[in-house]
Amino acid sequence: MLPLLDLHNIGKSFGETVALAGVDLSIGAGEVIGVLGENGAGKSTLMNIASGLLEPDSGTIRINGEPQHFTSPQDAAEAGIGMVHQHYLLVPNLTVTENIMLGDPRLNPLRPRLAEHGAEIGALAKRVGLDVDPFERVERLDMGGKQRVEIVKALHRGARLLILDEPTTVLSERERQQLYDVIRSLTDDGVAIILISHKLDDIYEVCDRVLVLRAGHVVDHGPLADRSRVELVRSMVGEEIETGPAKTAVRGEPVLAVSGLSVRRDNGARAFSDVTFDLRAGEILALAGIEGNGQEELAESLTGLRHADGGDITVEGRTLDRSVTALSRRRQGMRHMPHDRHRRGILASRSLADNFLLSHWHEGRFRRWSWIRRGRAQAEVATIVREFDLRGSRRSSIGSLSGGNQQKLVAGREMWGSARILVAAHPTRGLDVRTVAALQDRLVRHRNEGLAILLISSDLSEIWQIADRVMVLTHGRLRGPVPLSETSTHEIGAWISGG
Amino acid sequence: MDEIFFVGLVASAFRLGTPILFAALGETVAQRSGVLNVGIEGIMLVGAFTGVWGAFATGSAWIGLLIAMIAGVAMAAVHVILCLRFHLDQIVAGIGLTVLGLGLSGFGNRLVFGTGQITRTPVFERVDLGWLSRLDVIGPAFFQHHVLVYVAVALAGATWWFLTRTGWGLVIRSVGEDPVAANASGIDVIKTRTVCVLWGGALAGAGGAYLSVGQIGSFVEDMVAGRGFIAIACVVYGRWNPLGVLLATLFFGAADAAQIRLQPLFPDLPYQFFVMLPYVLAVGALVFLSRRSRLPGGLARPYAPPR
Repeated sequence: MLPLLDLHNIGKSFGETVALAGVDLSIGAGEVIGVLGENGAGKSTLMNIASGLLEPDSGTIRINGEPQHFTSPQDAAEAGIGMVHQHYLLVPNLTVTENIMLGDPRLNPLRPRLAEHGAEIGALAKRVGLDVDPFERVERLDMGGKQRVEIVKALHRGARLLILDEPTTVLSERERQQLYDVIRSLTDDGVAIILISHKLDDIYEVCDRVLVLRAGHVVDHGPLADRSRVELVRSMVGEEIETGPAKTAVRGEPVLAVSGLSVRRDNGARAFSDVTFDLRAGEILALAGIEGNGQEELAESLTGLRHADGGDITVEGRTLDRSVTALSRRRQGMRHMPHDRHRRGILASRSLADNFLLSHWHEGRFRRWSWIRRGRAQAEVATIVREFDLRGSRRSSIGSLSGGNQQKLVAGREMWGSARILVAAHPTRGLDVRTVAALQDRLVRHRNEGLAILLISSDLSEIWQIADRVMVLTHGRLRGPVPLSETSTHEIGAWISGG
Repeated sequence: MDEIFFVGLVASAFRLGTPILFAALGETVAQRSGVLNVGIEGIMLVGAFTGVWGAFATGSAWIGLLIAMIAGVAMAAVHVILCLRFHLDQIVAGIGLTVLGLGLSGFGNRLVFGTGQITRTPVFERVDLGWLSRLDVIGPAFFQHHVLVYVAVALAGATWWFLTRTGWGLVIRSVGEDPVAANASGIDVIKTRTVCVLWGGALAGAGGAYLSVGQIGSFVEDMVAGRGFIAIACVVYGRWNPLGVLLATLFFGAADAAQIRLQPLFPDLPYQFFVMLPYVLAVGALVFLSRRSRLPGGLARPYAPPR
């Protein structure tokens, strides 16, 4: 029998970044495939291609053996592919029925007859076991409700293949179980489902087969029954590298103590609660785990960019006021290499010196009354350029440099001067091997000189190479920290997968 | 307050509010689709000039109106190209459009009519609504206007029906609220917005033509005098609802009418205080009302479809 959907040799690049290369995926009616991978592994790009939002650079898409050329989500919908995006694509102030009928050719533009369509949608939802009120405004629904609307929308357009992108990240436990039930009842009807997730629980609950993507390539593909959780985590995050270089630093006094910290996400859901750990001078404490489990929120709450709603943060024995700003934390020696460099780390159109000043403008050294002493900043930038072997013209804007050179400036800037604590979120992600090695070397060197580093990384091999202790955030809880010498990549992999 | 005062006030509210109503209804549609056009003032000026020119050249006020609407569409096309094609900041482009309209209309006027002499052109006739027009008080207040006044009021109702009760209206609202979601539903965001902005230009052109052809039969430089901006304010007071916009423009028309009538009653006060009155009311209403108003989610945010 021909597969329902067959993707063959799919490739897609954005500028110089290769998002996907030579990816194959085929799925038959009634089948559930899990697509696993880290952020940036290419999962979303692949699914956007399958659902017509993006056009592939190379490769073929076949449905029931027929070659397809999708130029819009409409084309894919007509071919029977429905996508439920991670960030729900619903118009908040419209009703459920209006959202579902939007763009549907069955909607008569002059006489929309929304009441009739609504009744029809209600009946469809009921049949597949989804609790949906067709006349409620979407903005009044919770996350689970919005997701149900997206699923009904896809089915109402006649989808025979549903792509669910990270469907459980925002759901409560009860809603998750309901979603699993819906998936099972849909597959009984012959609907095929692709489940994109980085949660192994989801994959094990409903999938028949699994496909693992890393850096745009398929690294593993086959029946789920043959694979253990630890094996899957390892193919997601990369092979471990045995034993790093010997560490010479002496762990000093705790400079940062976090106790009982609770923080919410932007959408009000709890990111994590009751997080307790300490960070000592002269150590690299790694926070492992798959992105989206609260790491970003933790970094933000430590650096004063996000309000914590419970718990204490103590820096060098002094408990910080919760209302404290990023600037006053910075004055206490707290530094930050942010998760999203372009949004928070640099001003792309400004010079290296201006970008240096972004973190240090408030220091007396670089100011005389209200005037900024740019000359002094330029001198410091010159030392960073030398120390980090930064390539590129110092006069041009930082945006014209490569990502690696941008990150070198950010690293140099954040470790410069009286830094006591560095929160480094994915400091080497997406960079070439030489730059990664150079940045890791500088992190270790500054640690040896007494800097306390919280390294947020989803790359276990990096953690094993440079960290002293490791902890894991998963399901809103912290496990660890434990010294690396007392654990193994297998154990940490199991923690990450929630086992 | 006597009867004549009341009749005059209501009649003037309609007369003064109508050009603003035309422009504001067009702007409502454009803003509901997510595009802010602060260049309405410039489009109205071009409409006012081309309306007089067309009426003068053809001898028909109606053809003048049509030409003004076409000129309005052409002006709005500039906004479409700058904002929807090149993703320029909508406020910057709109300010540019205002200045462009001011220059074009003044230049065109001197080119065609020269300076000094006032040209009289055909005007819109008042309609006779039979016994309604001859009613006491009610007749002169409501039923002795130019036909365009009734067109504008009917247009408010029609726009409301279109936006809230038709499939096309649903598409426009979705594109203005969340273009990413609308695109994912298979709607052509850029095309929808283009049509809405061009329609807004046509109505702003009509509003301008009403000011010149409809009221005085000639063009005077800068004759729109801020009404384009008041139209934008009326969209906000009306909370992006065409019926609310109708009330807001009538309120503003009434305030304008009242200040003209209050001036002779207080001859000791400088007249500028009265001229100021509608604007003070506008600012006050804005402060009071905007707190509870909810603007379209995608308003003034450039959107580029993924690819």
